[in-house]
Amino acid sequence: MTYDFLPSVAAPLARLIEEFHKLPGIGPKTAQRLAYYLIRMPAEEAHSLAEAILAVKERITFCTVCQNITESSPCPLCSSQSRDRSRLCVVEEPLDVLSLERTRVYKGLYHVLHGVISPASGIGPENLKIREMLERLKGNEVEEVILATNPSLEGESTAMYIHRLLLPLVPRITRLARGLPVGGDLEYADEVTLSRALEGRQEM
Amino acid sequence: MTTPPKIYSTEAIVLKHTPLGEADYLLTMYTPNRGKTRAVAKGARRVKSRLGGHLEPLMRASLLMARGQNLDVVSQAEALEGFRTVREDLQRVSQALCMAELVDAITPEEQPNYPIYRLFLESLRRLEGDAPPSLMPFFQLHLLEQSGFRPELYRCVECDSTLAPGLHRFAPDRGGTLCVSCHPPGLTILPLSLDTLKVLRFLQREVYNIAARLHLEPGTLLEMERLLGALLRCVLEREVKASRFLHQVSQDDRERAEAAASPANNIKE
Ligand SMILES: [Zn+2]
Ligand SMILES: [Zn+2]
Repeated sequence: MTYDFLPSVAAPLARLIEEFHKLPGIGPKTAQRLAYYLIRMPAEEAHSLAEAILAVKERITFCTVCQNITESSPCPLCSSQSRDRSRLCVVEEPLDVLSLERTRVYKGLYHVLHGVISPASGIGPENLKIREMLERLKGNEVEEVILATNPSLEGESTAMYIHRLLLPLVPRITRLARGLPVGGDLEYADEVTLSRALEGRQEM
Repeated sequence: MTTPPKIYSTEAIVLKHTPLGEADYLLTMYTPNRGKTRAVAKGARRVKSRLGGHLEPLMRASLLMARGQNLDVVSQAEALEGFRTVREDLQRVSQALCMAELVDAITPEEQPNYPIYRLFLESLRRLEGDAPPSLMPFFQLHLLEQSGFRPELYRCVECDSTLAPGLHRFAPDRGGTLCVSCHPPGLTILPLSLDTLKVLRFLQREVYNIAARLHLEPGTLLEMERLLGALLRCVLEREVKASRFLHQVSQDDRERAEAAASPANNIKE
């Protein structure tokens, strides 16, 4: 979208609004609000923000082992001596690694797919970091792969597809339990979630 | 002129969803009374959303909708059929996604077409059940017919002569069969065997319960897949994206079956 129709807006400001508008989840109104906020921001803060954006682009790379975003490859997680190298957790996005790390329950390694198989959008297995994962598992000591893709249609399809590929390679393949979220309400659960939660019930 | 009610309820099968903003989904759905329709599901991407699970693609749900300025908004949703067997089987889910994409691609928005709703729902139910190989070609033939693109399978699309057994070919751009005397220039012409022609006519003519009993040779199935795929590409004027993944999965299944049948003689074609 261009702001040519707004002659009252100074050109640099119009450009900034346009750039913000390209970001995910930012509509034209929000883009304007952010741009006007930046104008009132102290110069050093604006510099620091601009630098942070550049640093992300210049210093961040992908770990050649787990494909996660990192400053140095292999990333700290992959090179750490304290991680359990017999377990590999496969996730959709880098943010999922952060979420799982926050639990402090999992001590193994990760592999980031950078997406999910989405047939309707034309995203197939070849568009994900699946080949890299298979390479990694060859002649490796991994005993368990945990498929931690989302319990969505695409996430499930991706897990099923990877499961097939891994069967001859890994002794144990597991899937994150699927069921009700904490603070959720039975009344509002759908039948697929409920039936899975029922099957995954545990002794108490 | 009467103003339409602000709140209305409908049943729908979710064809697809695309992320919208921070936490919303833009849904494309097929409904019995309004045909294909789009709506916003607010907050549906949040883990604790009351809508989320009910509105995954391929769910049949009962919805309470609120009319919006541009798009209607889903205010309540309850899943009626989740098609769990479909969801948990790679072959089935790829077929279902293919069907959903075809319905989405071939139908215009807000144009009621109850036979298509019925066909889609019944096909998902069969996919949830024994999912016979004739299901996909049956679905494609009848979807084409209900959308006004009934394939010609008896006469030549060029000279209108009745086809003689064994003397026929297929012209996807013209939507049907071609005799062997006609050579229209610049047309894609595909070979069409007598067996496949008979099966196509049978599937086009019969109701599903009879069509499902048909035993199909793998060769016939492949030929039919190719012809109907080409025909759909011409009608839609684009590639069916989900069919690529379905081909990958089917190919993979075939190779597995062959490998399992002859473990000592595992040759890839
Ligand atoms: Zn790494
Ligand atoms: Zn002819």
